[in-house]
Amino acid sequence: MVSDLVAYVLTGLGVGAGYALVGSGLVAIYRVTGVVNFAQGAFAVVAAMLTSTLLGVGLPHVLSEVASVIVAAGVGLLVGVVAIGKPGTEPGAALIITLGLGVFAYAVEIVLWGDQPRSFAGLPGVISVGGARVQAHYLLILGVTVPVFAAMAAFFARTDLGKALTACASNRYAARVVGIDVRGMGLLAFALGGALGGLAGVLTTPVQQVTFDSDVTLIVNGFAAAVLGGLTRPFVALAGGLLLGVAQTLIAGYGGGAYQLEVALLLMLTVMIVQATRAGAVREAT
Amino acid sequence: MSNWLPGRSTAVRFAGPWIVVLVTLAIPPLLPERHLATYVLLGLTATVTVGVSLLMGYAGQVPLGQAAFYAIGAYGAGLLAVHGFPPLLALLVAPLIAAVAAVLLGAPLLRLRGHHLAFATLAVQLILLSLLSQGTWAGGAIGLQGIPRLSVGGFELREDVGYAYVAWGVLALALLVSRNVVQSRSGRALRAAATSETAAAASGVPVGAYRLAVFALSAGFAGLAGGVYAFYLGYLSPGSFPVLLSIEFVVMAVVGGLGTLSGPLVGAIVIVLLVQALNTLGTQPGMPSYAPSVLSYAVYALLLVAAVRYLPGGLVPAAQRLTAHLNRPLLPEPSPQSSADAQSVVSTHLAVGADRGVGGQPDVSTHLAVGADRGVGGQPDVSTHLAVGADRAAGAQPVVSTHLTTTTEPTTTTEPAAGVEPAADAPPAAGTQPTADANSATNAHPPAGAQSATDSQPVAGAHSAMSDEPTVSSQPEGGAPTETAATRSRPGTSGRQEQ
Repeated sequence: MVSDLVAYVLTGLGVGAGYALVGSGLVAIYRVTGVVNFAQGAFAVVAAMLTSTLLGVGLPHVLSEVASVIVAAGVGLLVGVVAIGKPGTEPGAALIITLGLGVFAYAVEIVLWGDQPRSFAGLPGVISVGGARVQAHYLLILGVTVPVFAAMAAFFARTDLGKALTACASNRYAARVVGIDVRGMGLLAFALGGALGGLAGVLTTPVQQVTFDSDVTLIVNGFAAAVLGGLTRPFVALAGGLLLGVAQTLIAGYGGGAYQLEVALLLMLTVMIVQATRAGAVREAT
Repeated sequence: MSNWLPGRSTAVRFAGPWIVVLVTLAIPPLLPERHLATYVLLGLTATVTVGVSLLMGYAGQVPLGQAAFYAIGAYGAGLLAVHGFPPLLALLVAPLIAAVAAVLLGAPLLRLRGHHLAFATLAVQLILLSLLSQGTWAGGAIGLQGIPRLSVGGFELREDVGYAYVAWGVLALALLVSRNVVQSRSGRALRAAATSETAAAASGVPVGAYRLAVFALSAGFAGLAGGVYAFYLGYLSPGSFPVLLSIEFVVMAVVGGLGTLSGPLVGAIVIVLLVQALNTLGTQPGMPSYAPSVLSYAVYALLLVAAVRYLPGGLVPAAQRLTAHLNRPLLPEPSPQSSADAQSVVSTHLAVGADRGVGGQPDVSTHLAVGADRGVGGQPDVSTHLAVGADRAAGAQPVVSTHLTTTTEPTTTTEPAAGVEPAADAPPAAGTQPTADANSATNAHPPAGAQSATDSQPVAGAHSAMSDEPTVSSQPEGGAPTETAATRSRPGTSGRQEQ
């Protein structure tokens, strides 16, 4: 059935866009600071939970989501301060710190929002595309994600701040020599990563409810998306996320629903092992 | 843990382990039933943590999926026993199953490094949990039930006290094996590889095989502990092995102190007791129902963050520094035995040299290693990290001095540790002078010469380093290739900042 296929692909693109946002948050932080931020999934959870609360007290839709994304950026900044605020913290140690902060987020989330799953209504309605019926919200996710990536590309390439971030990503020492505040840029990257993670959370929660420990699934899928581009290229993360989402939806649609996560994980493992094998000689990087 | 601390009298040091053993044996019958369960699980948790600490401290890996091997051991033993295998045999096979699984998984996965490997181990655990909860052969999500008690011949081990002894016996075995591995030649080679794989490989260490072996060994520890767990509880479910459990093992290893023998034990004891105390507090009347879990999440998180940020060596090295500090006048020079024990982290950075020597001059580097261990004026705490001494010598400009070693080509690096040693506790300016030993070492390898970290001119230092090393500065990912041995500040280093 062609219409089924189209429906699966469109749904998959929507799901994948969420992964891509989480993954691009990882990329934004990793390329500037060298830190793989394990608390990335927590940004999404915090933003999603906060949105459900804000909607609950009667705030309108767009305002709640935007406020939550801003709060998520603030949370990202906080995580950055703890993780890389101390000069000389190496990326490996910072990874372990973000791991700890991710667990700490569990405690905060349970206190604030309890341990039950949460969700909220998204864009209602079903849209018919070429005979395929797709929940409108999936198209909304896609419709927000693609412009966000375009805006990010413009930001990195055209603004001074974006260029400074790119400079830090390209060569930290050279960036430092020309007077760029590398640590400040790292914190900015954490805030950006927080916003992207939060955006993923508020966009995907209406179609996939969230609990305090959803962050593991989110981070693993985001990492799987980002690792395709070696954790440094946002647009490859977008492609990776979309690919992953479509693959998972197709597998679920054609009968292997129980094995969605395995597919993502095996894909991630394969990509990493192939990359490591092709890189060949032993590398000293951590 | 007085027995592991340097600076006590010899009698205490020899008697110490026996005291610990006696106390360990005396505790179980005295504990009430409820605490006895904690005691059993503490022994098992500490056993897994010993393996995690071995991986993190000596093989430079961060395992985020160690609970997978715990689960493999538990399910392996449980399934065998359920299908009629003699329980004791099933328990003995459990670590083998886990180790074999580790070898099969490790062969492809250990090509990965750093965060890639961390995520890969996490992925393995998630896949395993998903398979276990879907596999009817393993009891599915409901779990595996009806596992018999451990029995030998006609004697069945029913009481919790018995399992307490089994669990702590398993822990003692893991500690013993771990100690022997660490002190052996292969242990030195491992530490060398953790510091700089290229250097270790160039010195003839079969890095890949050793990494796989230690991965399998740590999985074996986890599998053995898992086997005991299966017989102790008699029931297994995928929910017993969450990802958070793997993270808990990492927290215990980091808090206790990586690269120390007693670290995992101390970390496990401290954290389990703390969580237990908070659990008691959280279940008091009047506390919200979520209090116990929130408190335990918070304590894991805060301890981990605090340990990495403020106590990078963990509790055991900190305690050692403290005791050494207190005992300094009484103890002009630590005995080689205790110094080697206490400074095992230090020697990680010198292990290459100690193992093979530089350019056929084993004496040079061995000398260096000894100098490192003794420190200057009997201050082992100061000499913690020669390699990072270079880092710290530059004071507020660690980034600049990270270029110290980049003059060596990554593929030909043979002696990263030797070339850059400034006297560890010398003032920053003097820190740029290579010691006589380092000089002789660098003679063997001219390119490894220590660039002086010009403390007063950080920019110039960075500049010269860049011009000296076009391959590094042209790398797209600035930090990665420059992180050679000297710059990798492993836990246990920045304690020196306080002094």
